[in-house]
Amino acid sequence: MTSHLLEWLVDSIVLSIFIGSIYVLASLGLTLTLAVVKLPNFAHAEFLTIGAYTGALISSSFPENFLLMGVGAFVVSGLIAVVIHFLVYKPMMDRKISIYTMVLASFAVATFVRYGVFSWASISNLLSTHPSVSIVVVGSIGTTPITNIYEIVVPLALVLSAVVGLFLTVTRLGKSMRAVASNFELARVTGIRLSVVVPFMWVIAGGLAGLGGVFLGIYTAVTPVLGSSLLLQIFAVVIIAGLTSMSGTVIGGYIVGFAENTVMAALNNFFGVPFTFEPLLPFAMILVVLMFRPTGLTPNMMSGIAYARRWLNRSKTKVPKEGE
Amino acid sequence: MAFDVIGLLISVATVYGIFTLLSLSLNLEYGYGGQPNFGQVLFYGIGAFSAGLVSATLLPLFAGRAVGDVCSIGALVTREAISASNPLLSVSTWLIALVVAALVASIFGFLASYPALRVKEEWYLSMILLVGAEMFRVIVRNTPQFGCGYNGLPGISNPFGWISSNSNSPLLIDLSTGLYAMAILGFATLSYIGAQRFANSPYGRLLKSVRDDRILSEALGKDVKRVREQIMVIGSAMAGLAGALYVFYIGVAIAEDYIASVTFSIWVMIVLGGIANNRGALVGTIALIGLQKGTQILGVLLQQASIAVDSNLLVYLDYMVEAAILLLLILYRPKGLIPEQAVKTVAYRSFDSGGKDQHA
Repeated sequence: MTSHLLEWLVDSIVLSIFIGSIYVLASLGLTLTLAVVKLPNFAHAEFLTIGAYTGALISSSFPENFLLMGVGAFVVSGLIAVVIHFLVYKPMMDRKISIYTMVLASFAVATFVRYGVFSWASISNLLSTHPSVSIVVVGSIGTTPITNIYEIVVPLALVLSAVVGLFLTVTRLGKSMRAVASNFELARVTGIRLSVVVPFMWVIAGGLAGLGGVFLGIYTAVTPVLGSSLLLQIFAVVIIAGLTSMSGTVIGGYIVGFAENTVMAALNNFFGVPFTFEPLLPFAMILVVLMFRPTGLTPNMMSGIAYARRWLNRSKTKVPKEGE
Repeated sequence: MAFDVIGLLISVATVYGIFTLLSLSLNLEYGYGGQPNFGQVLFYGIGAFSAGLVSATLLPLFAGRAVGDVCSIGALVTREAISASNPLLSVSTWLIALVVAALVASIFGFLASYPALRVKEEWYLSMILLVGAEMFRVIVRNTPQFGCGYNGLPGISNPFGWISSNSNSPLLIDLSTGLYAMAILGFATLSYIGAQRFANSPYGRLLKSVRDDRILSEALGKDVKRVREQIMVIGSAMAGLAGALYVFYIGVAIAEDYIASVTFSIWVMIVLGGIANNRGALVGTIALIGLQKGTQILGVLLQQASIAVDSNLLVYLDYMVEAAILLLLILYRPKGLIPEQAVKTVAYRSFDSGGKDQHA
């Protein structure tokens, strides 16, 4: 009994970390979009699909080449995100269209891209495909096997979120991006070139999601609904993170990953809840967070750091509070 | 004859009536009331399943048979036999089912307005309703107690099916489906008249004022929360009625019919026709139904001309065209085909003739 219990616990924890890492990759871009252009982009999940198909196509010419698949997916999804920005979102933002209409437009973009992929995949006979990479067991924790995909995805997600975090805090472009996020008009007046910052943001947002899609496609299968079936889960991550916190998104990704796998496995084991109810957990989280704590569940680390800095500098200079 | 033209017309009329109800209800909620309901399909589905369950329970009950398990083949055969042989029972059960569906959907609309009045940012409500609709689908699909789970609740017959039950004459079949289409169009017409009167009433103007400026309306002493609650209840009842009418048309209540794409189509309809404009909703609905049926007919014609085209491809194309229409409209004609018009009251008319247009 104990060994059985331990086995499913380890199993589901390993899976939670894996899925959580994919959620982190998939959601970082959405957080960035929400922070910089204030757009709840319902087409975000389609970047995962695009990335997964790009990866699958690359792998048919270059099998087992994870690096090329990842880079290719990043570039293609990122470019498509920029194209969508210039064709759809930018003209709408220039016209100062209301947020509901923007949400609707992002729905339309999602529908257009999804069924575009559907048509293309149906003609090319790729409605369900697998990238030509082999999944190799490289080790195990207890009886739970650890595969090479796991070995790539988990560090990749953590390293990339650190890189994005560093990019936003250290580089000039990243700092301008945060400036645009915190005050759009002021950033423009200061002379930050929105025509550079915003497209670059879309490259990162689309690219990271595409990268997540490659590994999700290897883990499940590449289909035209690969991304859109996870849309609300990705939104759950971002909402738990309080919509604009990058560090919160990393934590949120793992929260949703654990909820969907470890918590679900526990519910199944102890209460006999069937696994088909799995999506209800992140959905319920969305409802609860939006209704009762719209600032998110994860501690807002950025404001924490700012608070600590202010506290450290309290005697030296008087730091004006936000809004002054 | 290439294909059954009368049958096609009847099915267009039926679907048009159902979607008119849906687009009018979304237009009331979003166009007039400013509630961005991205989960319209939730109330549509709730209406469909409650009507299905009521019909499947009441038909054997009224006929004096045991109800038993509504999902079993035996129950299916029993209720189809009852509705084929007993016109009175069949029609009365149908009417009861419609009323129950509208009531249940309006209760859920009231429940959904709870978060609607409490969320902080504008688009959270869209998110909550979207998630609500998805949760409904996951729960219904995986819980056999509500509408038989994955396979759905079958055997919900056309209430006029008894007309053609004893013969195979195509004329009688057309008569029974045609009568049902007429009934649906009747409901659609009634709700259009209702929505028009509603929109031009003082309450319609109150709705518009709440939509345009909540704080102002509150400052003028209007109960904004109450108004937003009421509009969700009314809109949801209409959507529930549409769901009930649909389930008696299609004959089976199945969770996979109530996906987010349906909500998306309804949005395209009202944006195409013109937001906050009931006539626009009618026009947008017929245009989109025309597009959907047109691609279906194109598929049939291509097949008859023995051109090998995957029929799914046309469905994908249909969705792409819908999305492209919506994007082009938002960019180049945000007011839709028929723009929103001023509320026609006596006071407004005299005011309008006296001075320049103050409405914009």
